[in-house]
Amino acid sequence: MKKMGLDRRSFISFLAGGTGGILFTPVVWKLLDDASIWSQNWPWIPRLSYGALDRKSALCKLGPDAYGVEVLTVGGRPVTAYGNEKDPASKGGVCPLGAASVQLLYSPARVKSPMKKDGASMVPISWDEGLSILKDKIKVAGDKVAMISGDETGTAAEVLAALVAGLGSDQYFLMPSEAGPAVRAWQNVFGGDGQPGYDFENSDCILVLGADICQAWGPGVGKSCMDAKATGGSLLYAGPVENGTAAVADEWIPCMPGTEAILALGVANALIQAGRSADTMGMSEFSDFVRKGFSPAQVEAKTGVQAAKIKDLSERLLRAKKPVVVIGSEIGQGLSTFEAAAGMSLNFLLGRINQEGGVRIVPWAEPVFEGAPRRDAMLAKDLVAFLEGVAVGRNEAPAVMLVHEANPAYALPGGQSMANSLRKAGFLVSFSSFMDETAAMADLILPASYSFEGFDDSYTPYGSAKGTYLATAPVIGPVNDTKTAGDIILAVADELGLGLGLESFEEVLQARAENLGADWSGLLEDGEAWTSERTAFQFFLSMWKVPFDADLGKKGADGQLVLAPVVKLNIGSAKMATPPFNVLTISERELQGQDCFVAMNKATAAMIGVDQGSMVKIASQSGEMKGRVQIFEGVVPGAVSACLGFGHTAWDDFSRGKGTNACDVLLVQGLDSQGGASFGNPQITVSRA
Amino acid sequence: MQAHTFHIKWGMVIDIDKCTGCGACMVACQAENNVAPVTEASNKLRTLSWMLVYQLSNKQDFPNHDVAYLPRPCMQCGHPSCSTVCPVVATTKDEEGGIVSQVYPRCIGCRYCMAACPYHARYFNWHDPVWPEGLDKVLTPFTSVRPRGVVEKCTFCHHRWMAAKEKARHEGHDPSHLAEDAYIPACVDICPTGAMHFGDLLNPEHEVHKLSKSPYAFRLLEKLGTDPQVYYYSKREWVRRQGDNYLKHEKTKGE
Amino acid sequence: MSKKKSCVVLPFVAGFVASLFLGWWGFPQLLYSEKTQPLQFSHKVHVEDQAMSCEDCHFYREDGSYAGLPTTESCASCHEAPMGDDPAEIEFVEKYVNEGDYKEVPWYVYQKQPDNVYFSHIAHDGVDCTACHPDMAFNETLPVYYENRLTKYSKQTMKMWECERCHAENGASNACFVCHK
Repeated sequence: MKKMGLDRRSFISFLAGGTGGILFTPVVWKLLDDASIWSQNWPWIPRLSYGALDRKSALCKLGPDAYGVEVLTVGGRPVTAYGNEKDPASKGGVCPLGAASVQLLYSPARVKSPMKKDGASMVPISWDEGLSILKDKIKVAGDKVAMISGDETGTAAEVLAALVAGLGSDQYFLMPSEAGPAVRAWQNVFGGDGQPGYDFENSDCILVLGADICQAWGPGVGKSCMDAKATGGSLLYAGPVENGTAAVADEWIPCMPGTEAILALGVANALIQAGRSADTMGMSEFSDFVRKGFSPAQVEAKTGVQAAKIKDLSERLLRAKKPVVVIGSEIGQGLSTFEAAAGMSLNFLLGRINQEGGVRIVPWAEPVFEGAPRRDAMLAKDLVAFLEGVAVGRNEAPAVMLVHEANPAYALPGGQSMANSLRKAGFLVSFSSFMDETAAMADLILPASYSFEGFDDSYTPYGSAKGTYLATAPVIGPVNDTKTAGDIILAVADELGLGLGLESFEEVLQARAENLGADWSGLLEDGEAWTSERTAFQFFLSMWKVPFDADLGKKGADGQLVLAPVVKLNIGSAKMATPPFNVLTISERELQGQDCFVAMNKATAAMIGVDQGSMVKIASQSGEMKGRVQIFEGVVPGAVSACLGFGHTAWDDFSRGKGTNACDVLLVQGLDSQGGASFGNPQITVSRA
Repeated sequence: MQAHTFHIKWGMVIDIDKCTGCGACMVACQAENNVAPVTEASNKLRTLSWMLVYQLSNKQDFPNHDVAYLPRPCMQCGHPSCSTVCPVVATTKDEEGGIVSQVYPRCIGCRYCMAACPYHARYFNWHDPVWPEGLDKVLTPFTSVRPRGVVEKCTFCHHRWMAAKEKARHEGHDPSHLAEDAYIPACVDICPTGAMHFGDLLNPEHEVHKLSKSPYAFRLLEKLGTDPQVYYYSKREWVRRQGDNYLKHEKTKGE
Repeated sequence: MSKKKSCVVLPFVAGFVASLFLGWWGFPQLLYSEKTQPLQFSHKVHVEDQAMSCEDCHFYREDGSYAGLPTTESCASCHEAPMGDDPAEIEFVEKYVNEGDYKEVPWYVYQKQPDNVYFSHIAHDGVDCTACHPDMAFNETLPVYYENRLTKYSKQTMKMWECERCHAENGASNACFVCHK
């Protein structure tokens, strides 16, 4: 040691040498570089996964429409949805719900397995247990079984209806829509057969009364209207709120909420005055009816549309070579049969039935199952009228209520009272893929697979000018412990010994395709839609076969405040709450924190005595909602516009507890002689809250 | 900074008269580009919307009111205000096609670019992205996931251009001369009313070239000299007038 | 105590050399962990014995993207059941082919790039594969995979400067979005 003379200085020298040496190695530079790379890859930031890209055809039925989409898969994993150019119903477009449809596979609101009610909570059970509970309940209920489906175009609803019919019940209901009143009007009021559709793309003058067709009737309708505009056609929109359709129309004709049918009859009067007539029975009575009750002055008083404008509308329709008129509700439901007929009467007077660029009547698809109701028989039944009857004791509550692809506890008028009617059912069964409000109150949930997880199909959504059929195979196997709705129902039927004759839902769809003459493998593999230009044969059309409705023409301006509800598909639909990926699209004019907005113009706000941002309570005879005032000059005076789709109490954090449900304020305003309930524009009171 | 000259100028022409304001473009964009879903989006200063639909009003009282919707992607400016202020060259306009790039690992989150962008097209990640309960299974392989602390923006779905070039190469076509519809961003692809057009603004055969020359075409805040590659189209004069700051009696461009 | 002359130079040199040794030899040992691939795979058996071409497994898909490693499903087109008695093959069939819906083998990829990097194989079609990848065609066993403990990337993952240099030398654009996403 002594000799070596190693001491503190030597040690420092060693360290200095070591430090110097390190600089001639990659240690420092490599560590710096690696540390910067390390800082780019936090473990909680997800990594991407790669694979072959492919597209599989699927169906989007999240809105009131049904159309084909293509699901992009990466290594077999579905990631997002694109349009399907081969589907005439969408023309390659996608609605805001369809755009978020793939992500819904993994929505936190998915029901993960069958569940039954146990006291106040729901407990998971096995499929065997679930099916046997349902079998026992149905056995006891006998023919007191009812069903509600929100799948207006799919065969799954028909399988369910076949089961209900097989049990001897005729209580098969579809959720309220545009198709119900339109079909009732066409069949009962005009004596026609088939489903009305509108050839928008070939029309040169489209008069839209009420319905928000360009935003809410599916992507193909919007595209068709724009195509018509691009070739010089005009698009006119009459309604109480400047909605998406008004934004792209050549002209917005403001009218009081719920008075579009009165406006239609005013225009009909003007057309008759101009010499238009339909050479059918009932024409002279119709002519008398509109002349007496719907003179320009009378119509102006009720609708707020000036007499000169009514005349102008009739002249524009007369001048056009291929005009078409479409009437509907701003929220896609709640029109009465007669209101629907009032709109259709204009197409009659203009001679536009089964004409290019006019109304085209598409034949019905024959049921796959013997004894099952055809879709028009299902549309003839009005769910709201039925449940209203249950509420007041006019109808007996069913012992078992089966709910498929629908959320009646949330989306029906007077939400709370309808939910109460549902509660009166002895045993409520939900086939919902999501924990919606109806599933949350059900006694039993047998969760159906999401549309992309099983076979699904769609025959001619309402409004389509052509017969179309789309069928799709699963894009991915069930993510949760679910089964295809059709297969669940077939299994139940089997257990009950009601053998419907077909083993699987896939076979049912194959039979449907065969009935239509569609190529099954083409449908499935290429996403190719089956289409048919065939129109339904009309045996005996006449103008207004049934007595005129005394209520037609009663709505309108009378100094009262009226609700003008609107639908925006990005926020949700009657069956779908706001999907996770759509929260971003809700604007600051529609929702702030927990508060939704209700829109009115300055004059209305001044009349009520509220300002921008005031919290108000809106009440009708049926219920109430709250919202902050949004001053928007695109609402007619005397009307308050509220967006449906808020105020969910079930689902997930993406939609629950945001705003209040405007459906609660909707009020059933009457049942027409054709069995239809009319709702949508109740009188309201508005007060500061 | 010297501006590059490009032979391709990817551009969009958005027909405002066809936009219903439905928001499908926003959803498609979010899904395609891996923007995480949020449960609360009221505070628009904290959300990320590469594509954002604005509501326009002619500011008239009822019944003369008119409404229109304006979808706003990144303008991919010819003279970008953002890239010139970036201290770390994380955002540049240097590639053929004229798409303004944004490289996330390079971004230091200073947000100068956000202050500079007159279109509010840039967004800052205030939080780490969260995909709840298996929703991360729908992540696309197209866009890397951004952590908190970096700025992001619309890229005209740049990955779709890359994919179109790969396809062209595989099929033996010239990747620098793509067919008109070979490359379109997700928002344009999905639009349910066909309100958005996309293509090469310099290619006379492309629809956008013709549309951008229309007297009804305009760009946002043109007077700033940013030379955006996004055009809007409206036959309504009041809409065009809102695209820029006009003096009261100044004539609207194109009138 | 006599005043001793302390030793300074030798410790300095020793320290210097020790650091060089540590930095060039020890540091990589510490920085990289050695991983063996989940399965043994012989390229040689496939290429030489079975006369398969590289493109049978590593090919461009119809959309021009590169398939890279074959999926278990494509391997299963031959190996649905074991073809021989090689334990690796039997393991592959048992653990991956027969597992659910063709479970993918979690191969370590020697050149795997971060998510923010975009690379098009077809754009580099003229370049020899071995300019970037190890030549595996006649390998009987798969090389050891070195994983950087800090970054979790492979030791062989190409760095940005390498891409940029080649682009610059060949007149290709070095614009950010050419390679980043």
